[in-house]
Amino acid sequence: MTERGFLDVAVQSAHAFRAIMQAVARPGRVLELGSDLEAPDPLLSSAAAVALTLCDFQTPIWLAPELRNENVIHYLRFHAGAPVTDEPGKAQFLFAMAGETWPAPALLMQGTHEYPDRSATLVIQVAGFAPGDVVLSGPGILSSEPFGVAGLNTSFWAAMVENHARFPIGIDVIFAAPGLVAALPRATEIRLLESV
Amino acid sequence: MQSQIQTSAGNSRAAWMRVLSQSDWRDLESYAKEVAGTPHDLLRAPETGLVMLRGRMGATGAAFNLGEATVTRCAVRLVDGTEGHAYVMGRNAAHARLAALCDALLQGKDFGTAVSEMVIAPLEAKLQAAHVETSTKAAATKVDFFTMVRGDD
Repeated sequence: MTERGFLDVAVQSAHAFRAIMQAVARPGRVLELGSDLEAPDPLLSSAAAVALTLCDFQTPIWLAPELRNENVIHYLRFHAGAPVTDEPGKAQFLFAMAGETWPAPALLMQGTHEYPDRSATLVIQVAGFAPGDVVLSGPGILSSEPFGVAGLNTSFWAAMVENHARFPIGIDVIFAAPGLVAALPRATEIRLLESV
Repeated sequence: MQSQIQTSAGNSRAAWMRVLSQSDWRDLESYAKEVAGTPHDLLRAPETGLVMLRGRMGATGAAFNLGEATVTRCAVRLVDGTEGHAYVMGRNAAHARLAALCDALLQGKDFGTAVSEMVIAPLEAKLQAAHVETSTKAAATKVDFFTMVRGDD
């Protein structure tokens, strides 16, 4: 069975785009997303909203093994027209779950110095947000922003520090929790807190 | 029992989808009046776009782009999960939606036969009649060319 996408595509995808854009513009800030569409298990509706808003036939998608099933693949093809690829290095959007494994950020498309936009976006499904892991600063943040994600460990944050060091190339990360979204673009500086 | 109509390839679904999409909207609306109230979800609300039509000169040679056609498509889902799809020339969203709904019902056992008899059969008869009329009119203007036998000298 195919799940319904946005009911009113033009209006709702514009709202979703606005939320995602705000999340990327204000790293670490949590916004509402994905309350108005169905998504096939185990894809969260907020992650589905990201896919349906940002992906199309020109953006190959890679799905983590835990998310990869016939329903999800059919859903992405039907609503977004996006091809699903087996090779993480060729995907523009990657969907994974916190607590599971996914390819190291350094193995994904990083863009080039001439075209830093030719890079991958990693969408991670998480249970929720809990400030305390890291402190973010940089573009879009007035002074500093405490941030934390349930289910992500120190090695993830270390990889993100490395990712920021490669700026202006590197990947961008979007966190999708039930009904919520937050983002960690490559431009953001990350300071790990001692307690992690 | 599914619809009786079939394409030459033996695909009855393709055949009824063709009938639904090629029929005049007023005909479909009147024959499918009772179908329209069936509860359903919109998987893909009717949306209008362009498709590129391609052709070959004399059915041979390289394909070229003939021009674009306006097409409206729609996908619906019945309460039992059956999905119906429709692609219709033009911008009539209601036509695409009703055609998709008929497509979904025609796939089911419960109403498939009824919809086939009530909607598809009369629509197909009309299309057939229109086709015959056009062919007859065209046939009446047919000219047979021949070369006169010329004299020997």
